[in-house]
Amino acid sequence: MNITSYSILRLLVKPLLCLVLLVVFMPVSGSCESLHDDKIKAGFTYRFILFSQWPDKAFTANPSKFIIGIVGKSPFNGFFDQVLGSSVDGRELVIRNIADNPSADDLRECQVVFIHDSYVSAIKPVLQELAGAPVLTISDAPDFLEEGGMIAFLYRRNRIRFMIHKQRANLVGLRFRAQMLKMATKVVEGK
Amino acid sequence: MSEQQRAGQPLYYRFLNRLSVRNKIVAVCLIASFFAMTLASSLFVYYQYSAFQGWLIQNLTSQAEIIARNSSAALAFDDPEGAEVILESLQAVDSITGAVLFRQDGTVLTKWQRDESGEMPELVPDWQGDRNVAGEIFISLPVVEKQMVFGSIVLRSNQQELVVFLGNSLVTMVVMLFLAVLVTLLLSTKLLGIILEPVAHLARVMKQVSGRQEYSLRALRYSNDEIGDLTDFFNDMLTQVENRDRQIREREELLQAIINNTNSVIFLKDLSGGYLMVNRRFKEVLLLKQQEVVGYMDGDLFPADIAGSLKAMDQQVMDSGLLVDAEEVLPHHDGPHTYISAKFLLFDSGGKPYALCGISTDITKRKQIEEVMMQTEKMMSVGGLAAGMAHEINNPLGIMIQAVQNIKRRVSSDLPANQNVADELGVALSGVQDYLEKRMVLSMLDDIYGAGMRAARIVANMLQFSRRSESASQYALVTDLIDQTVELAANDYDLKKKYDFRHISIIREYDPAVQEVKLVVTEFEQVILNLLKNAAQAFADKEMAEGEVPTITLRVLPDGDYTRIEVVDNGPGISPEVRKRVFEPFFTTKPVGSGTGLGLSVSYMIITNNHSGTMEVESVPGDGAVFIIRLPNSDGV
Repeated sequence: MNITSYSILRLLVKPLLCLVLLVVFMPVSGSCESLHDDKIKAGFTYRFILFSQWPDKAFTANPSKFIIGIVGKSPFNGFFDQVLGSSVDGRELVIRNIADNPSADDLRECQVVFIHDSYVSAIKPVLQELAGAPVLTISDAPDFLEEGGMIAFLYRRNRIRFMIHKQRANLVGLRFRAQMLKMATKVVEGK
Repeated sequence: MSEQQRAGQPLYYRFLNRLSVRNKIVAVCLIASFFAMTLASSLFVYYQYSAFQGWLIQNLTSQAEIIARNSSAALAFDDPEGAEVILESLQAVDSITGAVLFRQDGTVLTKWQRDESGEMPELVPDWQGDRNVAGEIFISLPVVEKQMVFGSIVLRSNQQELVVFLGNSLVTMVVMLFLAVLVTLLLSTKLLGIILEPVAHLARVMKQVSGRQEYSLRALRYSNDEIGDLTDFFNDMLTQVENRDRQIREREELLQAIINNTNSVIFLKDLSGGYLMVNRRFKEVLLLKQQEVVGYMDGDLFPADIAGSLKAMDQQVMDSGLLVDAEEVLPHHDGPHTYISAKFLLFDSGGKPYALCGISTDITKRKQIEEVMMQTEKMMSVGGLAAGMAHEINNPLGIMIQAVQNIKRRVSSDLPANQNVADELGVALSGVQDYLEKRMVLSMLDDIYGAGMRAARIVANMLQFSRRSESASQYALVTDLIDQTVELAANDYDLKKKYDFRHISIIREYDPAVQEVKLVVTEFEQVILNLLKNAAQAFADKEMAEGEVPTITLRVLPDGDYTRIEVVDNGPGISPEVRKRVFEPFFTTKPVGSGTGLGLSVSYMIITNNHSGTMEVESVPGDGAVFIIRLPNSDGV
């Protein structure tokens, strides 16, 4: 209550200052917003790894590494640094930036492939390359699931949530923990 | 136990001491079982409580772990709604009142709390494990997934279950205690009989023994324990007491027999003079209207003067502490008796006197015999002397009397020889006679003759002391002889001698059973006459009271092997001093010249010496005198 009355007082006494502040920080705040979203997306991506299970064949090419492939320009500037090199199920976590036209081998070496929505055009070829491979595909592109992806970010009530295409993931041998599925805004299940 | 000692004891001790042994043991069992059960069940409840608390925390931790596992995704993907759903599942667990999911940065993802419980305290989850804050348990666990910490879960739980558990445990404990005490009470009451029945039996026997003095009783040995030993010891003691009791009783009976069968009077008095014990003789000879003597004083049993003299002697013994030996005169059914009494103090083991013991022996008879012996001895010696003197005096006396008779005959004018001699000498015989008459010579001669004759009579009496009578003794009834003598005396009254049998009443009390005795009639009559004359003369010395008649009672009765003759008068009596000397020769109370003082002494010699009898006198001055003659029935003469 005190805090509320204090805020009201503050609002009444310094409306101008407040307005100035809003004007000054609006663009910064906006860039901060997208920066923040990227950070969350990076966090979520890492957490998806924790709540998912890959079949053994996913690691045949490179058994000692767990590779997150980022197609296009990485939005996660340094966000993975703190988890980089840490172990995922005994494997070293590695971030790999993949070119606009990645080769199938590059993609298939990865366990996770993230496609930023600034590279919407790359979604289709990448997914085609990865068809049948035990690679978790994630993107913040709005129609990613419809295009054949597995996990897609979306905004709901100004918060980042995600949808999961469980059937598609299961087909390639990926398994998701039920808790993660519960967190999803939408889960596409197969028959 | 002394009052002081008792005052020092705690109250419960004094309370316990007042109970019977049975109740005491029951109380001790109850107290012991109560405390033991309380201790055991308290420990058990404490252990249960601790275990339950541990279990509760473990349970809570498990719950927290489940929630942490389930909410890891919610935290991972920062989903408060999803987390809320998970936390709401805690609604099913009654003890959990609230839960908070914290993000890794410490901010709250979501919180849940049971409606009725208060606001969840602001807790910073910078700790792990369990905490107890104001009676509530908090569990904090990190939410980890694949070694990645996403945040933490804090669960809040009240201790309602613990309180309920504790309450139930306490109720159970109280019920168990109650049951244990009840069972102890019932069992100990039943089982105590095993221990207490022998004790009760022993106590009953002891009570019987001490109450009825039945030392022949024996207690039964019930058990082979200390009580059994006690019973044996008690029985042994009883045997010893019984033996000692019998010995004491026998000794006492022996002593009592001696005390009761002795001729002496034995008594025991306490120091204040109350009788503690008297022997049978005491009651027989001294008493007395009452049979009960113990507890009474001399003043209750004897006349005041006798009681006073007894008390004086007792006092002498108590003052000196030594044995006192003295003669005492005590009343008897047949008059006062003389006792020689030894009195001494009895001392207890501490040397303090507690009683006075007296042993009195009746010496009345011995004293009488002594008196008679002395009398006889005196009479014998005096009598012998007198007889010897008499014999010597007799010859000159004979010459004197004969000479007087000759003188008188030779001055008589009747004899021719006298006349012839007068004529030859030319003297007128009648003139000589006249001269002798005028000069009173003739009457002087008569006096000489009279005195000579009197002396001769005395000498003749004195000679009787030693000379056995020459007269023949014969069997005769003394009553007849007494009657004759009384008749003789009645005719022989003498105004000059002041006695007159005509005014004296004679009472005869003759026992018809009286036998004839052998005696010398003249001598016996002389004795009786002498006694009668003495009695008659004695009346002259007494002023008779109005209506009182001078009386002589003559009593004759058998007395064992003797015939007893009593001559009783109601004259002035004889004083004790006179009584002692009354049989002495020449002792007389009559004026000089009116008695020879030989009458009673001659009578005494006649009876004792010539007839082997006894003669004595009893008298109470003022009430007359009794002369008692006893003559042997058998031929003692």
